[in-house]
Amino acid sequence: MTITASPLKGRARWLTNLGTVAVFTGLLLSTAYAWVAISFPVGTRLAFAGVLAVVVVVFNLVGDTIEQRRLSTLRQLGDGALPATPTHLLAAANEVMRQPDGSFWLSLAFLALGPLAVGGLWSLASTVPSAVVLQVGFIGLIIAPLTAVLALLFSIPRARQVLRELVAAGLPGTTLYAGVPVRFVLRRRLMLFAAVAVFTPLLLVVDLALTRFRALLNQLVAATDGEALAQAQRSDGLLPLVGLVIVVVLAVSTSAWLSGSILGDPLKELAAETQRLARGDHSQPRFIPAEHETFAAAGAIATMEAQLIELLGRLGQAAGDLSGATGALKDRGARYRVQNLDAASSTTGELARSAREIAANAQRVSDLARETLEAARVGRDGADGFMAAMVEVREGNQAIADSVVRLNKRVQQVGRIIEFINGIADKSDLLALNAELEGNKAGEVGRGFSLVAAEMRRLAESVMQSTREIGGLIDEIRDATNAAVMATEAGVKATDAGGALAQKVGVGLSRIVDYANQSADAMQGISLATSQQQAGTDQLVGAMTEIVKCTFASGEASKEMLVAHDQLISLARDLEQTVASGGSVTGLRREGEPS
Amino acid sequence: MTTTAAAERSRSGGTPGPTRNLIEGLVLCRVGADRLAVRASEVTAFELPTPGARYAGTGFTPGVLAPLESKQLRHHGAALVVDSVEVHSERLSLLPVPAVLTAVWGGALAGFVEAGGLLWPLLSLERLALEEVTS
Repeated sequence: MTITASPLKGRARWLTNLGTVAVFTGLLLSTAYAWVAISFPVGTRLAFAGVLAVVVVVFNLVGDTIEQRRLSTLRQLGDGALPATPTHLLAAANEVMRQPDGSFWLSLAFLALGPLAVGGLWSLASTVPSAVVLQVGFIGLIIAPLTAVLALLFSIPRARQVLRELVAAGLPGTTLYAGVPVRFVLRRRLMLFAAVAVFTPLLLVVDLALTRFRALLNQLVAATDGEALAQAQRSDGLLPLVGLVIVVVLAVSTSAWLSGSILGDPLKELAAETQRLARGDHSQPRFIPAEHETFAAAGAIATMEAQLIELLGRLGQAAGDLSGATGALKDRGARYRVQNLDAASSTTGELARSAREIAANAQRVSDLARETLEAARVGRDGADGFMAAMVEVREGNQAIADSVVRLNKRVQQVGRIIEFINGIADKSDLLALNAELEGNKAGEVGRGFSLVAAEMRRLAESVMQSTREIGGLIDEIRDATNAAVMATEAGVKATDAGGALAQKVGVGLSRIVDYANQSADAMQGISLATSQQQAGTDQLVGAMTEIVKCTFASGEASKEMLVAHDQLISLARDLEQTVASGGSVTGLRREGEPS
Repeated sequence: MTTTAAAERSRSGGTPGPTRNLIEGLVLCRVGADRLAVRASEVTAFELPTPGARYAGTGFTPGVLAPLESKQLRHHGAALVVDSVEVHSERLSLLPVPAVLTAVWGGALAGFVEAGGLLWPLLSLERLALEEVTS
């Protein structure tokens, strides 16, 4: 993703510019001091200037390369090579936070090593006494701490500005406070500032005094007379040296003023932030850039402010919930008292009615059980009577069967008699027929005999016809008696089966009588229990009536509870208003106080 | 010629003449749906059927059993079984038959008599060649 027109564009270069200015300031001071204080051998000043220019260019290039490399993330963010994510912004913030210290050490190295390099190269280019070379290096060592402090102090305001821009670009302040390691070096830093402020002018003055003293000694040694000595003193004016010392003192004073400002500004902002919180302005916490202990204090205050804002939010929400719950409690309490009392009274009334209905039903069921017992007993007696009747029917059937068997035997005897008569009639018929034949053979004499024989034959045939009819009747009687015997036997068997069935019915009815007896006893017990339950329910109804009376009697207490609910609601609203107005404890109002 | 003489000729089987047309003393027999008549003088006695006697039913077929109430006409040693018999004592006219028919019956068919509005073939027990049976 390519970011165009980033607000961080060019901030890496802008951040290091003042450090370079401080370095060049120190370099000018050193060069001017060396130019005035050092006794250059004849013809070596040009070489010194050339070597100095080369060293300055080289060291500046090296230092600038190092600083830009240490700010690579910020530079890429400014160039749009990296997206402005919190991670990248935090990495850039780390680079920015380290930049003043880096500028300090680079400036210190520049001013400490640069003069040594200049002296070394100058001695190689020209014939320079070693004391002069060492003096050049000594001047660099004196000016280096002051230059480094200036670079540090120049870089800090710009670093703070870049940090603000990083926060504005999307880096949360809390993340920044938590993601940057804090070094508690404020005491050492103050000691460094004090040492630089004290020792740099002191060493310069000492060096200047020694230089002047050594020059005077050389003039005294070289002077031939008093006039020459006075001329030498006049030629070496103190004005340039004093001017340089004044410049150094001014530089030191400037650094002291800058250090005080740099330490004081975050403290002033923190004071303003805490006063804002004290006034109840708990909007989003403001980012305050600082260093070391001040940075830790700013982070702690910002964290505290964030927690305070969250706490106030929760408190406001709790106040709203409390207000709603109190109102609901008020309404629910009123409804609960009335509804529950009505429901309890109605329930006990219904319970009493149900108990009475149950008792009445139990009594009816008990009566039905007794009637069932009586009916079962009647049924059992009927079954016993039916059993006896079945025995009598069986005996009657058996007697009928015996009579029919005897009748059958008699009919068979009659049949044999009829057969005998039939045989006689048959023989009589044959005899009459022969008589008629003989009469016919006898002619006229036997005609009368033949007529008599014919009549006898007709009689015999009539007898035979009658016997045949009687035989048919006897056969029918025999068939009927056989059928009667079979029917009687079937009746006996049916009677036996009916008797067995009646016996089973009797046993079943006896059991029914027993069960009905037990049911009647149980129902009697149930009826008694329900009667007792009805009495208990009546007592419960009486107790509920007393409870209702007591509950209505406690109406005054309920009213007081409602008053307490109103006061609690008022307190919850005050709490909501207080939270909305910033959490000032003075906004809370005690119970009974005028609003 | 008197009736007695005619009857005597009839018993002797002689050629019937004009006086022979009256017959007195017949036994009318029924055999199933058939009927026949014999002279009463040829019947020795009426008996209950005996085993081996010829039954007149179904064309005198041997081996056919007679009903229980049938009667047996005894003619000396021979016998003929019929279903029922009736002695008819009135004098009846004998109707002649062709000689061929008489020859077919082996001379047993003597002619027809009319009794009760029906024609009855008159058979001669003696010429029927009945088997001898023991009573």
